[in-house]
Amino acid sequence: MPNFRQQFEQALTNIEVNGQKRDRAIAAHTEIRELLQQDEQLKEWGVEPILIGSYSRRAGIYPGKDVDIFLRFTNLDTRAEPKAVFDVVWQVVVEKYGQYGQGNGRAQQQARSVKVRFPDRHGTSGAHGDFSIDAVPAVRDGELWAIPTKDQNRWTGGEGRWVTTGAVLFGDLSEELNQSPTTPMVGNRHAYKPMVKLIRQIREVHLGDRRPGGLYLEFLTFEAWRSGVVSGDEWDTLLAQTLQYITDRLARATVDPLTDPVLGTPVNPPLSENEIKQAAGVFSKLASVANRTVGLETAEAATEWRRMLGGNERANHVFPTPPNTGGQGATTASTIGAGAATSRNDAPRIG
Amino acid sequence: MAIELDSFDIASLEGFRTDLVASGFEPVPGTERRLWRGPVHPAFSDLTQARIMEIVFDKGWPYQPPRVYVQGLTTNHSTLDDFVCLWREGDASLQWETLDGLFNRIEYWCNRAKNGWEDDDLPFDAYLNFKDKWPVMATFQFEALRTGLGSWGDLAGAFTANPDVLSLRAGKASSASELSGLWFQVGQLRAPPPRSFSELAQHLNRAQRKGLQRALLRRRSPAGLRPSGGLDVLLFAWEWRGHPHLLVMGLTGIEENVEAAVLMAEPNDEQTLKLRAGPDAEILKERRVVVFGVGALGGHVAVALAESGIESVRIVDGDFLSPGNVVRHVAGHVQVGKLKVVSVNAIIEDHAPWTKVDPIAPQVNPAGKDEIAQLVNDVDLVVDATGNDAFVYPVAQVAQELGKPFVSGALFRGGFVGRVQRRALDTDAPISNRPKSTSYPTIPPGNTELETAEPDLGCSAPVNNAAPASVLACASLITQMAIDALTGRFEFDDEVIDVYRTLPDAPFNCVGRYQRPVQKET
Repeated sequence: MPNFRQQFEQALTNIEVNGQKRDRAIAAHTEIRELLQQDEQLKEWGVEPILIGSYSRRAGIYPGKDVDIFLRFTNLDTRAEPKAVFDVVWQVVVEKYGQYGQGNGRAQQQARSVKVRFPDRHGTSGAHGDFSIDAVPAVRDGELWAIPTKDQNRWTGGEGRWVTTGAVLFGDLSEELNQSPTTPMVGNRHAYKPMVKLIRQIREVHLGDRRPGGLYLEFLTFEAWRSGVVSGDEWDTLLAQTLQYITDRLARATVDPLTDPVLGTPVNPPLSENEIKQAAGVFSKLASVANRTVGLETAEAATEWRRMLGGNERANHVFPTPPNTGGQGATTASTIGAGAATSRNDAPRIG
Repeated sequence: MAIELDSFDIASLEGFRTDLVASGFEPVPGTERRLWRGPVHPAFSDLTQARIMEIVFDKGWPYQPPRVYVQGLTTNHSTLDDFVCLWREGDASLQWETLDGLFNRIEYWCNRAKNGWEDDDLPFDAYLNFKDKWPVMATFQFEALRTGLGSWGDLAGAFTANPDVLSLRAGKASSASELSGLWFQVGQLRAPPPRSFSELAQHLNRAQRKGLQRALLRRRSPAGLRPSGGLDVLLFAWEWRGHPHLLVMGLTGIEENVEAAVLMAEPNDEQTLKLRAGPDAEILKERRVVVFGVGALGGHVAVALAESGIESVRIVDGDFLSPGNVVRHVAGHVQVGKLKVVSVNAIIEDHAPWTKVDPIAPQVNPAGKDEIAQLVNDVDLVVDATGNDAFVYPVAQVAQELGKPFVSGALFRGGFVGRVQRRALDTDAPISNRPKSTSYPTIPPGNTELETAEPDLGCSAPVNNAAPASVLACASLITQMAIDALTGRFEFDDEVIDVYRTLPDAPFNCVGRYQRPVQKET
């Protein structure tokens, strides 16, 4: 297979969230929805939870512990008081799951959300099967939705107690872009969402806890792919072009800030000039490596992709060593192949 | 970054693990990705209620298969600690190199578990399946216990000079220091062999169970493999498709808390030992051999002939074993100072207890015709390993006159060349004629100083500096040609020359076996 397509596919497998875990996240979301919809007050407010964030967009990377859901209240708007809404949600949730830190309690208040832990009791999803649901109240804000500000001191005040978000619509736009006939594919696979995961993984490896975070890089990738500058039908080609776009875009982000694809406003909270410069430097080097590596199928090229995509809890290198290249492995596969053939064909040995 | 597994093929390991991820498995934190956990393979569904399955990687991938663990299995080839034995030890198929290969094997294993195991597909090793094990070997004469099915009896055990070996015998313990035990012969099993003491009773008949209970009640001390006053050890034997199988268990605890751990059970009866004597053992059993010279070459030859099944070996050598001999001799330092025939006799007794040795230690080499004849006239083969030219020809002549096959072997040129000559068939040239014949190459003389080490003290011959590997190779060739003659196969030529290290002169300038190009003389 040319251009290490198989290895990129395997890398995607290694960075994607376990399918069973996604199923359990959906089941947990359903459980919470049914719980909240049983409460009279919340039902009156028109509670309608929805999976949000990278889980819902299928853009999350392993291990993907937090699952975000919006508790949409279809009968409330920004005139409602965040504290009143939040308190009712909290009471219903804590009554069911208990308060975290007390016995086996699993519910915990966050700045503007309620976190509920879902341990992997049966361990069928592996030991990284634990996850948390982060439930954020959301009220109508015109065509969009608004969530409480993180500053709880402003919850009972007037202006700024709700923050408009385009998260729900961004999920729709992402799906639309991924499925668009003009969006590149690799083989039979729509390539946009896998590319978001590759970019998120590269960000995780090379920036770690530093900003910008994963969503910012997803916005950059979205912008690159929606603009049509990325084309091709192999992962290495698409990745190199995406990295180049990100590099170029970061280079002018101090004067031309990246905007939220839904709201059209600069991404909030904004990055500092220093954060942008640091990220631009990192991605510039990565784009340079990708540009000179693209199309090659040598051991050296494999090593560069391995370094770029790094590792996680599943693999020291999510991009596997291609057979017959040696890569960073101890032995070339061809050597092993010869030995294996001998072992298979020989008569049994007597030691 | 976790420390990567010590592997021979990182590419296939990474590929395998990626396939694991795709199948819903995840590494368990803190295990350096050696332990993975995921959904149990559907093929296990008829055998267990378990929902998860664990896969453990050991160093040495891909030559070491991944270990699979599934809870709740109660079939052969699975242990109480949930290990699923998918491949026999030493399997080199590398079927596990891909996840598909592993899953195919699991499906095969589950199919066998449900429908019955084949005779030769997987190891039927109840020892491995048993939960607890003692690092002790139990030896016994299995034939003595093979009485009627459903029978049972007393067993006694005593540790040998080696504290890791417990010697068992049928009968009651005869001293307070001996372990008391019982043996049970149950015939065909109706369920998989016991994997713990609690699973034992279901295989016993009523009388056997009663006997076991009575003996257990007499246990007064909980310590294992120590005399407890009651039952200390038991041997459980059964038949499987005509083959005997058994477990030897050492007991611990008293009253309701008796537990058992298995010992490595190794029969030491002649029948078992002869399983490794080679395919000619039955033919060689009745043959008699004399070996002249039991030094470095002849010692190994005499022992190997005995190990191959010969039950009567005469060894002739008047020399004593010195410390220097030990480096290449079959005997060790414990035999130093003894006659070589005595030391070789001891080694044969140890390795081939079926062999009767007739050790002869003349003060001087037998030189007279009658003297030699007396030593060879009742044997089926005469072997010379003296390396003494002055002795070879007289013995060869006597053997020829008496119609005895004769095999003589020696090393030359500092061990670079080994030659074995045979005179047995009428077509084999007389040994004494060969130096004059152009059909048999002469091994050219070398530089004696370069090819010998410092001479021994006194007036004995200088020490041949042949490498131990040459000694073993030549001794092996002598033994093979001796057996070839004793079995009447005569597949070897009447003279075989092996070059271990090259000499400047043709035809000895190539390593390997010299092929004589001309027809042999008569």
